[in-house]
Amino acid sequence: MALQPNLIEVTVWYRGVVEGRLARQVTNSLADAAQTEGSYVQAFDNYTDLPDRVYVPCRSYARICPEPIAEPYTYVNSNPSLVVCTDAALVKGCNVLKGIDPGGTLIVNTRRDPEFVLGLVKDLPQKARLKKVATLDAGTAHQPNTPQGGIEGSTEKAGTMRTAAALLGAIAKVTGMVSLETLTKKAPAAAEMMAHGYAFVRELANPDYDPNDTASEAAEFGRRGKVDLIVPAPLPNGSQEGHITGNYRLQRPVVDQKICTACKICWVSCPDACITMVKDDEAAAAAAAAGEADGGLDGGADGAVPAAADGGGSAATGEKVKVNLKYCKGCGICWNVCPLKCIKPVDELDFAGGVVRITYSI
Amino acid sequence: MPETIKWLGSEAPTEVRIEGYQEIKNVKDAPDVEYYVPGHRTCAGCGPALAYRLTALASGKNTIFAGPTGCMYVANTSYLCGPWAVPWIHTQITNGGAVISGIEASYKAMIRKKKYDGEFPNIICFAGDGGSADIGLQALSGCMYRGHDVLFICYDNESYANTGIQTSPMTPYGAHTTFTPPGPVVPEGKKTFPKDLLKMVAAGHPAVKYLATASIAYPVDLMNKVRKALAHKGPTFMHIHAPCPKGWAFESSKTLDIGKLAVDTGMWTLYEIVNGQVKVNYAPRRRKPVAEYVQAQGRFGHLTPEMTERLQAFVDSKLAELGLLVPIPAV
Repeated sequence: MALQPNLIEVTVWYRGVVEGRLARQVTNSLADAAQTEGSYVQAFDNYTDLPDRVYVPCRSYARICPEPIAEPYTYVNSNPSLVVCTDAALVKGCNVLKGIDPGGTLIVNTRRDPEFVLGLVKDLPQKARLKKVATLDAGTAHQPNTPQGGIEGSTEKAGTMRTAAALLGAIAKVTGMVSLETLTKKAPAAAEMMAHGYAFVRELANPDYDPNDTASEAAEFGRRGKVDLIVPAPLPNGSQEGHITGNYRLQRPVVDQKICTACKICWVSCPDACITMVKDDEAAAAAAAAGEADGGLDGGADGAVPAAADGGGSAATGEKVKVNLKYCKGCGICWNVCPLKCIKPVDELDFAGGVVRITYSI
Repeated sequence: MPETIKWLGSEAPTEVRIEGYQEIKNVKDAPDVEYYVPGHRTCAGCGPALAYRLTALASGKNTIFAGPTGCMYVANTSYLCGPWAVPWIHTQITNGGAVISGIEASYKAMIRKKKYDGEFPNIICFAGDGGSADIGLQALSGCMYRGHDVLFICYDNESYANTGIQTSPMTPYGAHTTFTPPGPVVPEGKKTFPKDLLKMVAAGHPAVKYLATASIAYPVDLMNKVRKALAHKGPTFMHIHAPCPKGWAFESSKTLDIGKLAVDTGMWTLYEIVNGQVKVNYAPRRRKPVAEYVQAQGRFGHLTPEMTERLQAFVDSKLAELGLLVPIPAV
């Protein structure tokens, strides 16, 4: 249940810094247009997500309501009826449907089909509340930005939208919460991209949609679940369980173990200590066992690539380098420094496994 | 071999006392037990995080870290957990030096009172450029002056990156930060040239016998310098160049490339000062023009050729001081 019967909550998931401006353009323009159409609106960012870090999954919010908003100082959208993701890897890495209103919509900026996105949310308890999935290839914003771009305390120039404009057009088409005319009037320079988004968005009704679904509600509305305030300190060569960072990743390093000479240059260059050198057969066997104990994270049974290339499991194939996919942020330093170029970036979405659902406890 | 720099006094060198440290010969020889483990919310491609990891690899188990406020405190410790497998303490951004002084003094007192008979720990303050060259300068200076047996490391990402890229005294001329945006009145962005922190510590603190600059693009050199500094009894200081993809506006995969480019262009130099004697560790064979470094980063995107020339002149004067001023080969 939303805070107010007529309140529409919109949550935009984005990558910290690189897409910060894009997400704010979407929420601000949406709120702006809805206000022009006579609604009461709010647009703001989630602060606890740490939007100041590159590739961190973050949220930006908009609220639209025909009557005055009853609780304007609630700082998160608990029950969005529209969820927008600026890339599809976010759907894989986060529970983007958490708290979604029955009959909600998911719009994802990706080149892939809505069917593919639906496949990614199949395991979520809230999937029966999702009515519609839409995808749109709105281009990418994964470029280094200038310091005034996605960083807090900065201002953005209106009328320079591209990806955001296309997403706004898609929102207008799929949900109808604002009209394309109003959006276009507000930002005439972006009219072309908005029309593009409006025309090319692909929609799909969720076959599992159940308007009477209440199964997942009990878990949702306890405002906070179990909170583990004390995370044990890590041991040497361990990891910090409080910050699982695998959902930062857009591209996954895949090592060609046949070419690799175990020169350790990627190992020494990884800021996240995610690369482990496999020493000898015994160590490899131990490492493989540890990899399996990770909870199927890097799933040896990944259909898309051989298990060895997937970074987990199988010591028998003579692997020399192991990538810790639970924590790898996909920054690209390893495939950039590799002197033999035997580490290749592969789109995270090409792997069926490796779904890391991260929900922060606080 | 470059001669001793004038400002340090020429009669200083007596003996090089840094010995008894375990040298790392190459990458394969490096220790592989991580004390800065995965699981921290730093940016993808974070330079300072790599500096931290390499420092922790080199210093080993018997280490205590102090972390003044900055990226390496906030991003590492969000939500009540931290990625260190060794003791770590948060200090205010002003007082990193004071806290490590206290830790060192208390260990000495405990040993004197026979309450502690273990090995003396490596006490390291891992401060940002704000926590060492700007807000934390007085605590750094006090700590270095009193002669505690500690290592103070400044990881230099050339801005207050944690709060959203504000200018710091280490920000280079011409860089765009949210406090120095280029505009019609000040077209170059940042107008002033940065402090020289290593020189400042070296010139004003006679107790400090070992100082070094390092870069994350030269990891073995960095780790060896950490070990040398820790082997030395007394206050030591290191200044580590750590490119920041977010603040400098380059792709996260290019962190080490930018670090290398900084050394190749002379924007950063790798040298150490042992007992007042300067030793340059690496001089690029072919010096590159600063323009190449400038073009690789978004924060310099607005610079005109004249501004780049000013930056080049500044770099040239710095290199001349170290005796590294060689002509830039024509391309």
